[in-house]
Amino acid sequence: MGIAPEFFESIDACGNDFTIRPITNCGKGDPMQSMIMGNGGPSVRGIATVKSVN
Amino acid sequence: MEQISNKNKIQHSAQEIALKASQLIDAKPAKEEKATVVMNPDFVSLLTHEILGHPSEADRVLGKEMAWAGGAWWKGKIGEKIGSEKLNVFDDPTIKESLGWYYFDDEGVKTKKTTLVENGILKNHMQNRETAEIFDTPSTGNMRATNYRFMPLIRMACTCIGNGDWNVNEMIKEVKNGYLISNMKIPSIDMKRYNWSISCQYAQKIENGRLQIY
Repeated sequence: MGIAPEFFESIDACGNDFTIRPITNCGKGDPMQSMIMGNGGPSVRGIATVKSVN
Repeated sequence: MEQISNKNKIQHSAQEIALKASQLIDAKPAKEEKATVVMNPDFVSLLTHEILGHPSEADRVLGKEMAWAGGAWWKGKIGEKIGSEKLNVFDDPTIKESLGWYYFDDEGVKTKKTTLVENGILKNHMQNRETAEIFDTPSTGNMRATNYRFMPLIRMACTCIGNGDWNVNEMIKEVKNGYLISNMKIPSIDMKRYNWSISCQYAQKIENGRLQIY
């Protein structure tokens, strides 16, 4: 987890392993609309806070 | 685009999943710390969706979705530096292997690749014909409805962080203390996409450039 601009500024390397994943249920609007789309990227290195949730 | 396309790939994937499940039986919780993270492409896909894609929707930026979807922390910052020069982000409805592939949006705008962030500089948002007038830029062809019964909204097509030139093993090798974060799970993001928390399916500690197995 992190703060967006701090995390974006911390990115110092992006991989050459670009991959696209399917997103099948993104909701938006009133009445709610579910939409399909793609999202992707390579491996990304940056600084963030890591913690276990249990 | 990664595809499970043949019998060997399916068997290889099954072996990887079984090995990971076996290792996770004895996994230890991570202590809370701010550290270097190497995020794999599956995790980055959800990260990109939540903290780069959604705040790039111009209706959100303008506050038109504030009561439901929320806003965007980078309102008014087009042309400003919002990240490191390694960060490049685009939305591209022309990638045929993507679920967000289409030729024209629901306002009849022909699609093309749109640069959203270039070398850390915020360049554009995803636009429809109305918001494009406000931002004095062409529509980016992102206006889509789920079906004919709904009003079109500005939606991502295929929003991605651009490729780099690093081998992931080299990225890991340089990390003295950190984690390899793998595969998307659940996001929790604030209304303006400023504070973000995204859970992964598993993480591995990196110490002095080497992945640790616990």
